[in-house]
Amino acid sequence: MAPLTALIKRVWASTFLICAGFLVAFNCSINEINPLKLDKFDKMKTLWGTQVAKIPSILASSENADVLIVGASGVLVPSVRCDDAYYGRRTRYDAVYMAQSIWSYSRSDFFQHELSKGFGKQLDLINAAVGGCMESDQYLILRRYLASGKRPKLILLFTGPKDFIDNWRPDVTTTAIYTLLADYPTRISDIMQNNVAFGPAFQSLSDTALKAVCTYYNARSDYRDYLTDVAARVTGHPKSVGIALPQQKKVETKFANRNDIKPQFSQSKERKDLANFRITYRPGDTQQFNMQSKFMDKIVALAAQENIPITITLMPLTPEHIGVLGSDRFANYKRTVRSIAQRWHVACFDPASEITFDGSDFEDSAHLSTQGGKKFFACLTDDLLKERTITASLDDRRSLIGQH
Amino acid sequence: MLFNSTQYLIFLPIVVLLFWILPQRLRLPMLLLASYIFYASWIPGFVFLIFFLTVFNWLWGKVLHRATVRKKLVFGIGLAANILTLGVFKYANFSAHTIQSLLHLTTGKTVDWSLNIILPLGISFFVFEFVHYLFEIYRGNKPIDSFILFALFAAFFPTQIAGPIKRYPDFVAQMTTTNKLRLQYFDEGIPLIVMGLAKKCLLADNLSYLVQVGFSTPGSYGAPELWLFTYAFAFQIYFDFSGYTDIGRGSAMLFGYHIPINFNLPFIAKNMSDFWHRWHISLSTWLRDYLFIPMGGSRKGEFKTCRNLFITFAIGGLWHGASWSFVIWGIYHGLCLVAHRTFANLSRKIGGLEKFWETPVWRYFSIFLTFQAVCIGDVFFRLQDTRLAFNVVRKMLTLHPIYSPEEAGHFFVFKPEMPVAVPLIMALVVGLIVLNLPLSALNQKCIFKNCPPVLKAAYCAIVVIAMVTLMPDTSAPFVYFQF
Repeated sequence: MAPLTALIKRVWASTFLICAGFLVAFNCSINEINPLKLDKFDKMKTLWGTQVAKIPSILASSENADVLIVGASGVLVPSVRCDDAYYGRRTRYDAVYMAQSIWSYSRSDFFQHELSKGFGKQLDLINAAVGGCMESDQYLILRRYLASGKRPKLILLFTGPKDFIDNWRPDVTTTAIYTLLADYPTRISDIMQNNVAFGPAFQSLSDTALKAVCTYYNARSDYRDYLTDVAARVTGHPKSVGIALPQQKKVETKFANRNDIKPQFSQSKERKDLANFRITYRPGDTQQFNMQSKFMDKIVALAAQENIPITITLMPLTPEHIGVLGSDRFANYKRTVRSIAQRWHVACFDPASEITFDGSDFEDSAHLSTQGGKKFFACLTDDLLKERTITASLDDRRSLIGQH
Repeated sequence: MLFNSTQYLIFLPIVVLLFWILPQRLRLPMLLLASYIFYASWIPGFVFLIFFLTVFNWLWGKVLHRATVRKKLVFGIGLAANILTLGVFKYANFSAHTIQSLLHLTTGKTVDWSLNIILPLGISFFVFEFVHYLFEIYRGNKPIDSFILFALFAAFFPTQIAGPIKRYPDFVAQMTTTNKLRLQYFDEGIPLIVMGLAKKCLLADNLSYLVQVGFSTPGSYGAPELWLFTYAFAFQIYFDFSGYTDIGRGSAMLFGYHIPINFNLPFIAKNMSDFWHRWHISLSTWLRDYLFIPMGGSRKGEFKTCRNLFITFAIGGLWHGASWSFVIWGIYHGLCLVAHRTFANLSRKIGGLEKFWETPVWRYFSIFLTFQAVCIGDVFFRLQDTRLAFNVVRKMLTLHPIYSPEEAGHFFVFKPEMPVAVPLIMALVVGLIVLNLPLSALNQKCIFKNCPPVLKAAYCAIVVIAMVTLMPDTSAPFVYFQF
């Protein structure tokens, strides 16, 4: 007994050990009590209004749709616009609608209707396109979607040049999707394959390790959000995520009355969105382009490995947008996508080369409007109907990829 | 690698574990290797700079020690090599920019001499350590024989980037002592790291929001608001830098090494001289030993003493950053010290007031006055645009305008549409000002140090939880990293 007593005495005299004990006890209690009743997926609450908010619920859902859409805002925005028109809903063009409705939208019912009509049978469709995501993110989404036990009969991959070149997202690990979905094997394999620079990868890996060890650290933003909410209610001040600079005050005042909200896209069509894309594309990062091409290749390879047919669709863009990107780089982008499609013998559609899209078909330089979306989805449905492999797959007859 | 990153939270335990499981003879080489890895995690190429400087100073120290003739020349060459390295990396851009501006002013011609030299992290600190080493050898002290020990003196990761500026006799004495693993090291080191992290992540980073709001457009605010932002900045840099020092001291303690303190409750300083005995102590003692005293110190009459003080602090200001605002900050502190010295001399001559200088009223008033004087200097520390800084100081001193020009009759920061973070951080600043004296008094009585381990542990655990919950997602780098 004496050594045990000595040990207890020693531990009781140690600030470090008692503190560690307190922290472990606190973490276990939080885990057990779960005062905020957090959902299974971490950061569920704080994801609201962000582009990745919809992904946890898609992954957690038991719905096993026939068709899976993977892409970015290029396909997500026209899906929402067309569905708004399809259901007679009033669509809006402000940032609030963008954050609360568009980013979280996981359907494409108009397109689903068109497909079902075309193929002569009821097809379910799930839209996993996430605004702002790149090929590396789309690869992660597809991998996690398939790993969750769901098995679509067809994967539709929609792509645009911004999925390959984006100066706002210089590193694979800095995107919200990567933060949310990359597990240890992914992170380690990305370091081993030189997909990410060691520094940021190590940082994100160590952060993930800490989150895995400490439940409270993992959910800290939810608790902070809750406390901020309480403080905002007590003080009567608004909650805010950014820094309150004087310039921002005017914007907030403008948005205070929602009836006053002006459509942003009509303005951005000429100026703001092209100015943003100038920063997105210039100067172009060849290394990033090659890296993202590698990830597109991995997407198609993954589908082939799982024996699920996949098609690639190039999203239409306005001539002004292509002008900002540069015609040479646009041609290089198309060439790269087509060469990947050719290598894996998958269909690559380019609706812009089949039908004409004019200015009224776009709500800004990169996103199709309701009218443009309808034309686009109709054209794509026709293209898909021409593909025997896809028809066979959707008819539930198993076929190998590349046999068309 | 930042002290407040999760990378460091993984790096440090690995190094500590390796240190204690390795045999004694391998510990210092391992620590040196870890320190170079730590340094290389930023820009790997700069490891060679610190390595070559280390080799040069180690060899030059030996040459200087053996020199019997022209010792001053040998010392001068060593000193010049170090100062030149610092000058090239830290002041070349600044000099080119100044000459460009002068040319533009005098001839009207615009030339582009942008050098775009990247400032290696911590260069000001390790160069000062090398200068101290050469000075001490020149004064007759024994050089360090072991290269690994010398290299570790310069590169030791807990103090590598922002000090404290170490003295080699203390450091070498500790490094050469055989150490055994004791729980006591962790009991002292971990609370220091926790407190340091809390100062940085919980206080400094949150205060920086308000500071950023205020100093991004200072023209939009009235005088009281500018005072508030300046107070916030004063506390921000204090918590930022002393937090860094605490983490460094705590990390070193995990290896059983003691690093000297760098701050001793600076905001209860009674005058500017007292302030510099409490703020960035390792720098102020370095400036005293290797700049002020070699210039003659206070031995050659009152005028020369004041001149030496002024020059020392003007150079100290330039050491902080290659910009005119830092030079002005240094000059301002030099002038304050001269003014205090003159006032102290005068007050000594005036009879009958001795008792008054000892009263609590005068003591608290002088603490208040010193804090205001420090805060005024901090405006130059924060704003790189000197004209803007002078305007802000003018507004603060004249208390005009009271309200922001755009918000006649209202304080901008009190507007109800301000995000909740603004009033909360404002309350924090007010709380820090109000609690400064009582908390400092408790600190002086070592209340925390002397309380039972279980209470200390509970306090640390609460601080960790508060920090994890309330720290911003993106933590800014330590303010003193830029120096």
